Amino acid sequence: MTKKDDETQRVQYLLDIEYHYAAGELATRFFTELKEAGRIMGMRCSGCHRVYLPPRPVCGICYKELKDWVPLSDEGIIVGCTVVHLPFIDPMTGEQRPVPYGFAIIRLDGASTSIYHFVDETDEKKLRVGQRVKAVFREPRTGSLHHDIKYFRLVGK
Amino acid sequence: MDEWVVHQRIKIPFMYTAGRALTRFLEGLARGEIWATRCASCGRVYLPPLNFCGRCWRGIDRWCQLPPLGELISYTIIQRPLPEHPDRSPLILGLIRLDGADTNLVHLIGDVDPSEVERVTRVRAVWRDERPASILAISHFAPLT
Repeated sequence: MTKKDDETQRVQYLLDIEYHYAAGELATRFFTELKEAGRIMGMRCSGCHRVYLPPRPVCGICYKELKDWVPLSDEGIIVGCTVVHLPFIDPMTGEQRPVPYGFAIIRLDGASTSIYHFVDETDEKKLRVGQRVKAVFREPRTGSLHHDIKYFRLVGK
Repeated sequence: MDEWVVHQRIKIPFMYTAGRALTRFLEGLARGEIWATRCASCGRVYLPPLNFCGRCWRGIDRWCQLPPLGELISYTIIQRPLPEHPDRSPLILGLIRLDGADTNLVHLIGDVDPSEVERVTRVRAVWRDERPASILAISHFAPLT
């Protein structure tokens, strides 16, 4: 507790929340493939052929149950991006990442949906929608999308 | 395949200004005193103190010191402490109405076995030797024997 130059007490506090959750059947397979083979897997709908990443049990468009796993590329394109200067809390560590850092919504080749990830670029002029990116893996892998892939790097024009 | 368990963590540091009434309350605790406010209109005694009576819809500027003694209104036994709780279990959290107060205070109940706490009616504040301007200036409330 600190006291500033006025008369009012300021109360400092830290809420530190550690939590675990059971990933469920599909995410268990997804994380296991990632850890053991370094492979990013999506699920394809047999009706509309959309490929969901991360995997989900039912197609949101067709309401068909998804059964087909498909390996996806470790490359894709940026569909949304920013350079973060006011960091949010990284749930891998509970801490804020050092700023600035690149952050993007990425559509991997072969997927119909997008994931978010970090990008190894903080120059706003180089981060563009449509820019191709490639995953940079970290060893040893633990089966966490935001640990095993350190970040995405930009690839040639 | 074994079920996958994801481990994550969120840390949220924050600060709030205690305001006029709570500031005086906290500074009182650092001196080993418990200060409450009394509404001039309805006579209700608020602990922790409020600057404003929500029933009468008027400000409060009367202060009164309360004794470190009160009644244990209710309690719960915590088997799994939260990070902000003392790192031991079981813990007993009590709802305490100090003598002269019309509202209740939450604090730890100590010096009693959880299996015996049901019999406790009267409690007294046990002060720390080093008192911060915090509710933790009181270490816990102990049964009055």
